[in-house]
Amino acid sequence: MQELQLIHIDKFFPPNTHACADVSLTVRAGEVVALLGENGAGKTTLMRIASGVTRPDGGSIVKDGERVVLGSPRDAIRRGIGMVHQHFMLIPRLSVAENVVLGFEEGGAVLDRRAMARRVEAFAAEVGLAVAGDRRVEDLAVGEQQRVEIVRALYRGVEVLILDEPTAVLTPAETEGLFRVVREMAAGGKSVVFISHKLHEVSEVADRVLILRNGRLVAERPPSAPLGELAALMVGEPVEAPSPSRRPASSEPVLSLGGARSRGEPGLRDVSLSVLSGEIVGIAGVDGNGQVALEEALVGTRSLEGGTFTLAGERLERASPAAIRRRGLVRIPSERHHDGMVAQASVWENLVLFDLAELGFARHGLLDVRAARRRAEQLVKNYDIRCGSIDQKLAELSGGNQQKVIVARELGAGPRVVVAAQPTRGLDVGATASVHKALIELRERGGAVLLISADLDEICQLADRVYVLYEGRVSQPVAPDDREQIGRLMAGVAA
Amino acid sequence: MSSGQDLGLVEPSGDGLEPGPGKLTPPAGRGADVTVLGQFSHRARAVLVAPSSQQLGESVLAVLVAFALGAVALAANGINPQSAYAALVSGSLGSAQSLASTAVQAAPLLVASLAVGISFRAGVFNIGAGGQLGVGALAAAVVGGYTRLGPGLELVAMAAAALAAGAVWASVAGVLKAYTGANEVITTLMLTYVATNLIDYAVTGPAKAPGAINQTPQLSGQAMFPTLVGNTQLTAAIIVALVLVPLVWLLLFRTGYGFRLRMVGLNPDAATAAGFSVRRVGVSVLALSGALAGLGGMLEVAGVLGSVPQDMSLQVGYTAIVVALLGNNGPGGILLASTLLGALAAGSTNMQSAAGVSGPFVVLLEAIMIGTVVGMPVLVRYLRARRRTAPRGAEAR
Repeated sequence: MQELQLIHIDKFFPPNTHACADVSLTVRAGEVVALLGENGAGKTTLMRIASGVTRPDGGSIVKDGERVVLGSPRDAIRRGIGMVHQHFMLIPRLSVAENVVLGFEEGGAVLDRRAMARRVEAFAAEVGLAVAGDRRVEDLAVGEQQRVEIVRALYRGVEVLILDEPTAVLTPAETEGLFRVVREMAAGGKSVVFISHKLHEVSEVADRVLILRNGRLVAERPPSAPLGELAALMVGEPVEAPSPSRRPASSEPVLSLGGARSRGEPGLRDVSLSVLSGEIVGIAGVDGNGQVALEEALVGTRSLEGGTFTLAGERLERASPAAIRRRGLVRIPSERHHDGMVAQASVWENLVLFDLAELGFARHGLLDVRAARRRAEQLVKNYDIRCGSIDQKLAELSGGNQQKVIVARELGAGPRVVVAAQPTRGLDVGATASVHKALIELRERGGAVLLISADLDEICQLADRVYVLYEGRVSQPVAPDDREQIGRLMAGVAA
Repeated sequence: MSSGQDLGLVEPSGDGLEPGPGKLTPPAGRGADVTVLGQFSHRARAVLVAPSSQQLGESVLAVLVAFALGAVALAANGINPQSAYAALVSGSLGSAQSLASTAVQAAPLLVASLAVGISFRAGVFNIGAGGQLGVGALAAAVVGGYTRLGPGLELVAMAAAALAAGAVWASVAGVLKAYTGANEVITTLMLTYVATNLIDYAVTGPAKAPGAINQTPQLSGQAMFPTLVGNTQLTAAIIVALVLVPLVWLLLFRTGYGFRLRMVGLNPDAATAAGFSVRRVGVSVLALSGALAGLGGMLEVAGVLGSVPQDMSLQVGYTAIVVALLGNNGPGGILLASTLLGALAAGSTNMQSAAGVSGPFVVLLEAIMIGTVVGMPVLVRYLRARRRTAPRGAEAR
């Protein structure tokens, strides 16, 4: 019977962040505890302390009635406590089995890879998880990699498994699978700590919900508690959902694709769609059905192999990314760290990244630094970007504020069309609301929004019309309140 | 349940090197014409293209560590480190003569390092500044040796020839990179060997001075920079080198081109998405870097050498890499670092004669410096982690 207690845990990050303030909690055998809180609430830090990654400044950790000092993740695992981090700690080049047994190899000097793979597969099957032992980790989908992480933790005898934002990278189907695994682990007597900021998830999977805010444990609620109450506890004030006023759009499509095809796995297969100015069009669908191909085709980084691409009456099949931008199509990229920002550059440089020439910050080749900085200051204010100064490196901002920088830059210039790809993935409630607000405001000003999102709630909340992307094809437009039809189309079962 | 519950584990520890919240691993193999750094991790990019904000401290620490390790090496060879270093200091800073000698050594290094630094900022690895410097020197020596244009104009023509020669030389690598994807680390390095052979051919054949020695014709007074301090090799060339420092700063931080260059260097994918042409920046920055390096060669010929000898050393191109890294690829840092390495070079002669230290010892010091400056961020973070300070983890804000 294992039990993990954290008692009066304190953690202070200089200069002035009190990440955990006197937090005490108990995790009992066979239960699923959700740690709910916004980004920066201290959830991850607390669990890094529990798993030996970070040392607390004060307080103690008690495992099975015995006070323990966890100097490293290795110590923690020896005590049966393991954490699956948000970014996986697998070695991409190695096989699944090699990753699982790494540091645990059995037998003599010569490894029998095949036997090792079979052994790992057998072990995984025993705990109810299917993995292919001899595949390389780099070839696996994100959801599969996460399974490997879980198998690895269990293989090392972990009894208290901590999952840090485990669904942030998963498709709805994978999320369902994960929840099943979590419940089975709990039924088998293990404990799971589930870190999340998504309300419906915690109420679906947890036995108890602990809410952290600003480093403090502010409440404990049963999973049946109303979502509004949980949200209020999490952000400290009642959250009002943006109420989209569905104004009629113009009848002229500002953006349209006709029979567009592109390379990719999957690429676009005969995609036709249109977006009017003054409307938000949602692209629903399970991740990996051509969302990236669609996004890249629209911004011009992936060329079309056929079909038409029209922006404000102009054909742009062969246009360069720069030319498309100049005609007023901007993007909030799904791979924002990759395509959307220069993390090692300053906030102000990121805020004017694309607009140097357009906004006249570069005249006769010379940069008007003062004007660019003024512009940045204003965007910081308008979009409520929380940063110490505009000279801070973007990398030092929280994920939500980084995304606000991207949104401010892209929408601040008053674009005709914005392609918003997974714009709130991984963001907390507050940042999500501010991104949604910006998109709605753009629509009210007559801009067009193409919202590509795997989050069906988001699509139904914001969109005026919905297309469903399935294996590189889009459906006929669907009304956003017809969730049943959307669900069928997402699963590929409706005609 | 698990068979190996009590065995040792290898668990990656949170050492503060992890990416921030929600940072997904970027998919491999994207971006067709990304730079060589694209093949490295984002962490390597951060170290090489734009090192951390504690860079100055890290560079100073690297220098100190290098001298400390150097002292150990000296002692191990039976040489008193104190007297060796005293000889080093007196040979580089001890008198007006030695100060001038430091400046003379530092000048070509400064220019070559600015060239290297610019390319590093763009994420382009120009390893062949030595070769570009060599062809620049050769072009300047040929123009200066075979034309008579009058005072002032002669030097301008030589500089123009050197700039053009260096730019063309590096552009070979730039064009190969842009259109065939050839890695500029390899091509610029190889072009340095070609440059060595080109010089060899020129000074033994078409551009050979009359007489027994294989070198270009001795430059006339008009084709040389005037001496600044009597009895030294210190000429007005050093002024040209120093003027380049603020110019490069302006280019990097106050022009649209410099902005694009730096953004492309830090994240080519985002720059591409922003509509910048990574390819265009790559080609142009190599040309620019080569031109600068070529000018460095002209300053060396018209400031110090007076002709291009057959065995002209192009080593400065490699030392420039050390300087650029020590100096954070920024003009100010490069000025400091090139002065330091210039002093090392100037003082090493005295160290050899007065303390019996072998010549390659200076190279050893440089090698230790480059190792420590590149390794320093990792070391610093490791030491911090040991001291249990904040890991830059997901919610450490």
